[in-house]
Amino acid sequence: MPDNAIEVRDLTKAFRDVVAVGGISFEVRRGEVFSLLGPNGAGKSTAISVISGLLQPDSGDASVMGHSVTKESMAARRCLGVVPQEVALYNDMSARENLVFWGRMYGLSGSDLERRVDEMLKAVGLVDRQKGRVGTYSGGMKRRVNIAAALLHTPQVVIMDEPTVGIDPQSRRHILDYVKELNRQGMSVLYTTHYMEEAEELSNRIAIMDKGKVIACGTRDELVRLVGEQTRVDLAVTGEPDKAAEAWRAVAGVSRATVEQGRVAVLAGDSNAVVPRLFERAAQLGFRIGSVGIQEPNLETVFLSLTGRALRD
Amino acid sequence: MTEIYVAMKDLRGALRSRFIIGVALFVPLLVTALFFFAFGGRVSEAGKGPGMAPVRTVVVNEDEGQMQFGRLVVNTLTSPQLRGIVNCSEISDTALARRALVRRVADVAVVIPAGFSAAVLDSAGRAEVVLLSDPVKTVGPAVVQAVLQRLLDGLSGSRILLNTYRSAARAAGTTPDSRVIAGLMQEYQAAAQGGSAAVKVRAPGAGEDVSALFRRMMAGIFAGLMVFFAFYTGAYTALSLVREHEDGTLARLFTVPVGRARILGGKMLSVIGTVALQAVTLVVASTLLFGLRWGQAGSTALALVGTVVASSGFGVMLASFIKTTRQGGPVLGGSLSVAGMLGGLFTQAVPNMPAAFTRIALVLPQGWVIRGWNLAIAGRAATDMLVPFGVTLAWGAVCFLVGVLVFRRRFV
Repeated sequence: MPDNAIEVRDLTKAFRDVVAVGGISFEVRRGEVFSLLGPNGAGKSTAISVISGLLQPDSGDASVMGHSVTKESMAARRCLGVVPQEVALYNDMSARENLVFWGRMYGLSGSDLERRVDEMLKAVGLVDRQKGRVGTYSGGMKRRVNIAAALLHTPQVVIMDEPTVGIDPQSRRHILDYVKELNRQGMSVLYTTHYMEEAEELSNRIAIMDKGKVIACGTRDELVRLVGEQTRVDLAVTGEPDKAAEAWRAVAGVSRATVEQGRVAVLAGDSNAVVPRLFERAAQLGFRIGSVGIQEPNLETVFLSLTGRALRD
Repeated sequence: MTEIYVAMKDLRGALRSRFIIGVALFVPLLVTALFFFAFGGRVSEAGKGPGMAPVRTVVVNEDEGQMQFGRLVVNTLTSPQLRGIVNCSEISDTALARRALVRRVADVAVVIPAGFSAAVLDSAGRAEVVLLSDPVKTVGPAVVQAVLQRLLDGLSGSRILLNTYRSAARAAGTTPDSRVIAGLMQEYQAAAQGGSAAVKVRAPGAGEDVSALFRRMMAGIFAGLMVFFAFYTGAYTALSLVREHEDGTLARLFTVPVGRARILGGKMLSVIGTVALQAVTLVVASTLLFGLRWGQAGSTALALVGTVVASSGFGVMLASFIKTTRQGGPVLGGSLSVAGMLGGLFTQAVPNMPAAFTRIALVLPQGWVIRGWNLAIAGRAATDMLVPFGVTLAWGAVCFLVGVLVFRRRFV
């Protein structure tokens, strides 16, 4: 059995002139939760579309449990469960009918199929509503059925493409707990998200993607160490934030100052020393600071440090 | 089996769709029912035409004398041949007849005056029957008037016969013999009542009655509707591929360990299954509900298969060029309506269509499909349908191939 559940090597995919994924490489080890973290348009969904067999790469390759997705596509797909970003279910069918159909698509039949459908309905907490048409479900319930459909055949690897987008906090919590439970059961998970907190909570390792590239990869602590012990200071200023950012870049101890959504984000090695200097410089230039927020180093800080932009941009 | 599962899933979706059920089954049956009742109601009862209720008639016979021509009129109106058209009873006097009209228990009253027989026999006399009717009624009195007119024309013929006999007797210098006159009139009466010569209405086909002709006409109209809606169902069902693409379920299907060609095959199978179910249901329902006649079993089967293949193929091809489901409604509605009209689906029951129109119809699969149905309805044998059947299959296969190639290019 291979050490890696998924291996991606020099994968490139372009749509006409737009390079969505430009030569990325990473591996998901067996039994780990691996997150692809990046803003919208970073290339996460394109990467997993290639891994799940939806798209053919322009170059490079990926393998699932040792099976190349280009050369042994069927074998790779048999090991894989894919939870798409958008709910992909039949609204005119009940949850049970949907699961039975998707189970058959994965080759299940007879009592095995019925047993697995029962298990999955129980796992996602929809036993009581199993006969209701999916079209009548709430967004969170649909998401749960969406996940259950990918796990019916007990895949060794599961890919989840932003499964918590647009749902209520309760359903989100349910999904995150369920991902942890799957991992406890030994399933390898490739999880994509643009929510830093989810990546931090779930992942053994994280790859940060931006503009089609993997710009950093490692555990949460390894990634944070990449940018040193830098603290993020968010400041709201009256007047023009661009001019304030420009002025603060020259302040001793400031490694980066950018404007995000009308606020100035400053990266500093020692916030205790730097923040008074920022106030001092603001007073010299006639700016007034309305509020200050100090954030210890995290993945957000890493992304800002590496790209000069916030993760949510 | 994967193809079957995909097809079954789509078929179940189609059967749960009110739109599909409405378009595929309800609308054709509803439109046919409207035509059906507009043209005269139920015809499934054997031997009855698509007509109206019998004309309620009362007759008063005040005639007297030896020849009893008045009785001949009464017997004609109450004869079994007219049962179902004229429902006639004899009453004693004119006042009662008028009262029956006023109370609307009769539509028509026929009064045979005293001296009617004498007037028939008198070469200078004028034999008249009085017809009283409810002024609101038009068709019923016209029917009775037509029956009486035919009878009186016959009596006029008998008068000519008598006059000829009298002239011959005078020329021979003899007196007309009243016994000979009575004998001649009896012979005439017997001939008139026996109906030795009569007109019988028949359909163009050998031995058919009016109701059979009506059923065939309705079958033709229904076939046009059925073919139109079969093509619509084919295209709409094929559009489910575009719908699944938009909903994301097609992409999800492409991540399961099944070849894309097999998934597409299942989708195509569902189109064929849906149209086949629709066509068979419509043929059976129209037969049971309206008593429509579809021809010999073999011919009907060929026409059905042709309909299913051509409409599925054409639908798949049409749907393959549609990018979004929002485009689908107008594009399918417009193109199928135009193709239906040019294919003669709405006018195929109209007699004497211009030859150019018939030729244009054969440029389209709809034209060939309806041609097959027309042959089947006309009672032609399956062997007579091989050409339209073959052309229909070829149309279906070519359209299907084009559609599948376009879909494969888009999705595989």
